[in-house]
Amino acid sequence: MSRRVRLIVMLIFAPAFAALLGWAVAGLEPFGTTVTAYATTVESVAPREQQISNIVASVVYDIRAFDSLGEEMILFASVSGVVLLLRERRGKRAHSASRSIEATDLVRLTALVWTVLAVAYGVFLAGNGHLSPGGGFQGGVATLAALVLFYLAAGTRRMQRFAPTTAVEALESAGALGFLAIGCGGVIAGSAFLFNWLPAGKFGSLDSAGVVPLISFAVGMEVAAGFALLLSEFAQQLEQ
Amino acid sequence: MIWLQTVLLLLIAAFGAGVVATHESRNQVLVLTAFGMLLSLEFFAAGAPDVALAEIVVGGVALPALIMLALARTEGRHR
Repeated sequence: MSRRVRLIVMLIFAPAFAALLGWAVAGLEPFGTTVTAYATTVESVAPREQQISNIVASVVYDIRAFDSLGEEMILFASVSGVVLLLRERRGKRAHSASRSIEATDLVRLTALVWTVLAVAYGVFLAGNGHLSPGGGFQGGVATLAALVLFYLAAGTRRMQRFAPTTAVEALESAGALGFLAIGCGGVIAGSAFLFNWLPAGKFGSLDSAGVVPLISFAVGMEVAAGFALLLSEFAQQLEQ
Repeated sequence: MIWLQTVLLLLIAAFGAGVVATHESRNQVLVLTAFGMLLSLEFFAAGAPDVALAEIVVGGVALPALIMLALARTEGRHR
């Protein structure tokens, strides 16, 4: 398509899109004022019945846990797809000498300190999602940040030793299966799939909110290991 | 707090346009990361710290790291 045709197409569709967008925005509720009935219901039910203080975690890992399970499976499938694709390509090409660049001492030291902090923060986020902002996904990606830092400091080969692919794969599957197993626990307890079957505990304590912290931790494992697998596959592509 | 969100939303619009207007890929990743950080600030200002945390780590670490790795790979092939 020539530049002229593209411009004409743009001139036709841009105003139409702007008009539709303007129409939609004009019909919205006023900014930041509306509290829906669903929000008030969840806010009153979640702390009382599940002893959970982070309402978002209650929605994500309990009330709408089935949606989160779907998201987990999407992530699992995408990571599997990328890994399959990259390994297929890697197999066809002969391995050549490594051309990774060694990091300077300053980068190494900084990355090492932050790696430790990032792992601690990631585990904290994944384990405290039901008490304070955070949760499995956030904790998982924060843990991944640690692995990115480690990779920057130490390079691909040492990262393979730090986080061996087989272990990472096992962790990812364990996370995904753990979510499913906790969900099946609800069925075994005599209720619905993903029913919160564990005792709710005391409000504000680490073992409160029933299955929410367990699911959160499983999600954290799956997310961290899934992204780690992506990172290591990408990094190995770079090595050849 | 409305002024804070107004400033943030204007900055987000500016940086969003900036991402599109940047043509050199490596610079584009940096602008994209800054855009992600602004988004997370806006999420925080809008009262969604959970989403803000996720955006900080995804937009600040995972996305630029993967794009940079992919760029390094493809640029190495052209040389």
